[in-house]
Amino acid sequence: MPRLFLLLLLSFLLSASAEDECVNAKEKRVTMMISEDPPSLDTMNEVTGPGQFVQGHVFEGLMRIDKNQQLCPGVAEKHVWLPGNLGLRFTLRKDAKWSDGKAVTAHDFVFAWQQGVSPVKSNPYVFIMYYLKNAEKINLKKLSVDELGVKAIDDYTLEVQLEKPCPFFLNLTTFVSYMPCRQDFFTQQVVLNDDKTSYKTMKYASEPENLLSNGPFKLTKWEKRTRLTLEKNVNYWNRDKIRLNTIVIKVIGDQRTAFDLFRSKQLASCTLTDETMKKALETRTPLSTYADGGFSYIEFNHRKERPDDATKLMLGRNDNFRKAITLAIPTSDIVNRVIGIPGFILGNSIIPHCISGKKLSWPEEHPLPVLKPNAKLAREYLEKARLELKLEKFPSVDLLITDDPRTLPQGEYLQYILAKNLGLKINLDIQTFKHRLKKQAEGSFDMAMTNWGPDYDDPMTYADLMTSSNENNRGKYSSPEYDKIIADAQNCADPILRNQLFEQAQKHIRDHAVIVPIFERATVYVAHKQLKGMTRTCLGADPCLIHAWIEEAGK
Amino acid sequence: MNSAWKWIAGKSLGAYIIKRLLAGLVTVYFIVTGTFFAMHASPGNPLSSEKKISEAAMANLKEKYGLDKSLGEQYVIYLKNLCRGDLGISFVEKETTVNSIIKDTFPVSAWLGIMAMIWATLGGVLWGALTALNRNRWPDTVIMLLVILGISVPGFVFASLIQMSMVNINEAYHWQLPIIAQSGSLLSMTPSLLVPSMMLGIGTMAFMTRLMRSSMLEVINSDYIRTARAKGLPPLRIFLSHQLRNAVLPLITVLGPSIAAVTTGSFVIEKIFNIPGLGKYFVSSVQQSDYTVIMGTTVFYGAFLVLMVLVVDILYGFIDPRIRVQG
Repeated sequence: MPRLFLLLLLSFLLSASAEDECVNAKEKRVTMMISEDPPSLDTMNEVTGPGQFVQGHVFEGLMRIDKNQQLCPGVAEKHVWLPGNLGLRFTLRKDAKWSDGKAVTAHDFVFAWQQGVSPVKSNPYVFIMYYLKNAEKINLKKLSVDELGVKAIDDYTLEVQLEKPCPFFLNLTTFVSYMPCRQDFFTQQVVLNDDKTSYKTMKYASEPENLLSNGPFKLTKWEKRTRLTLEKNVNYWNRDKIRLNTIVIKVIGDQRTAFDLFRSKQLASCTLTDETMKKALETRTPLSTYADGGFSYIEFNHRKERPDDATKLMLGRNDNFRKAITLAIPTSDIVNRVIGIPGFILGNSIIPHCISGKKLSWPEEHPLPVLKPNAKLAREYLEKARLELKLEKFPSVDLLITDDPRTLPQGEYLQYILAKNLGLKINLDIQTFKHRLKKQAEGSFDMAMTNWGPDYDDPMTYADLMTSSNENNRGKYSSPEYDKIIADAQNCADPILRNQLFEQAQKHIRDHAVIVPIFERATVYVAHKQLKGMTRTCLGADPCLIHAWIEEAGK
Repeated sequence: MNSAWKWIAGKSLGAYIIKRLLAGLVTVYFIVTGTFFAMHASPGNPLSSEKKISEAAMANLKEKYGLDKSLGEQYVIYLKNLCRGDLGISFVEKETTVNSIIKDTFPVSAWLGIMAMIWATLGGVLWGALTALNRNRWPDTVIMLLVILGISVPGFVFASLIQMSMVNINEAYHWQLPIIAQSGSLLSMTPSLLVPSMMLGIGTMAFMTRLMRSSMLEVINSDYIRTARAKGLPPLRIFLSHQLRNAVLPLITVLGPSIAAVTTGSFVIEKIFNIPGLGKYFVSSVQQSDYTVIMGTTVFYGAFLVLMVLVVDILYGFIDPRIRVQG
């Protein structure tokens, strides 16, 4: 009897699993995952990782990134820089089509970009569009959206005016915020309030039928909080190069569950956490890594006073103190022994390896000498700092960190190593992510473990972090000299001169020990052996399956 | 049963329910007020992120969500909207109303919870009665040992273990056991929810077993059971209509809050088995300071709990006519 019951239960359970294999070479279908349902697929709104993954496959901008991570023409066939490098003219291909068969025109870009900066849309990611002429003023309600520096000369010619030189503008056109949107379709999906300053209903991109796409794939099914289905867009101009027919994207919140699904062959690929990686190594699953752009560093508090404790001595203002800290931390130990995940790179310059140069990565083409940790030298600097500050003994130093399982051991290690090498007493101030940000923004810290990720593929996305006007410069480092270097680079249209300025910038950060670079993060992932041609990048759609295909089993 | 129906139809019950509902409203009002101000007092806000948003964009956003108004004004607006049944728009899931989040996810959690409660109640009553009848013999010892395990080890540990075993089975035999909830309608989801619901119910089942055991022991030794035996009633009849019915009362008391707790979703079980339920929002909304969702889930949970307790109190009348409302 119990055996019969068990059998029944089992058959019931098995009946539930009519789900197909994660890769199907015959039907050219692959099953992927995202960690959460995209909050929105509206490209003129907030940018999120899961959203970008879907948007990157269903939209195409003026340019796109090819399988070798190089820029290549997208909707725009050709482009020319206008004299003075303050503008560009794009010629659009005539065969680019929306998923309903109508042509993609220059007007669609003008409309989308105007919406992106419009105060009505209140786009939190609007800063990425400030390179367009007048964009900021429009967002501040000082000008109307018609004044935006983008014009459709005719249906297939788009002219862009820039606010200041922006040599990486072509890269920006691959970013989701620069995707097109067709006006007649958009206006059908939204109703404005009477005062025309906000939306009454906003259905655009909320369901497959409210979304029009011009990319290699289109969204055909969106089961909220469960899964999305992308199908090949038969109207896409380059459809012959697309080898997948269907991408099923499951929403899997738990990374461990995702790995379990991968092992059960119900997912074609997934990213690993520290925990699941151990499991993957035990089961001898082949691992892959890629630099995901995450850059981790220690930020000092450069303010004159701490708002939470005015009596606190501001050690972060002292050059020699910062140099002592920098030299006292063996970053290789953090990367190899504390974190111990393959693919991580030791932090060196403020400009990490995910930024590309001409052929290699930017730091490889413009190397900054590697700093060797030296405890003895560090103590000398600390002694100098002590004399300068006329101290008997150093007070304890607060290190602000986030309470996630990966950062905590790093904090503990720093506490140990700074006590050992410098005799400093470090208090760990452990906060949740949002509280950490808040304390850091208001200045209630001495040192803080900070992360930064790139917004676009250019050294500027990291270098301008330390300018005094940058809102993400939470330590309030302020140096007229550094501000000038970055301002010059911002206004510089000559690529060689510009790179020299960035070299100066990274040297300045090193010489003044403004921050302590710790590591450049890597992400470890596993993929089904039949899934080929998938790329992982730190910018744009990640993972990218546009050029992927499924190999027949047994080859 | 008859007396219960009379009791229901009686005047006192109507007044009682109205009184309790009013008291419930006051409770919910205090929950709303408390949560609202506690939430705004905690640092960080829903619009903060690692990449700081520019002042202008922030001002536009604050205006959009009404965060530019004073706290008092926001509170009044929230109460007004709440009275109209409008819980607002989520900050994280853009353009999604909190009402629709609850409407979409609560049925899934509720269904999972009901399945779990069926497991838990059936199991609890059965094991509890079994242990009491076999007091101090080996079934009692074994079951009570398992019960202690079930109470002290959180359900998600069992959940992870069973999920891991399913994965191992899948790998070894190339089966396709559903290690996560299937997508689709509630019905098509049900088979894949069997295991999660058992895991969700384990704690409640263990707790109920203990409760059932102690109340059953009390009943077994009571006078009326002895009388029934003396009358020569068959043991099964005594067990079903005298022992079980009397012993099950304390269980009904915990049933209400348990149902409210279990059907509104479990963060961990839902996360492990990837179930698109409400449980996730109780935790993620607080982590992300998603104000409207924090309020929505709290108000919903509070109101639901108050209602379930009331339902249970009324149910009492059916199970045991001795219990009457005073005043």
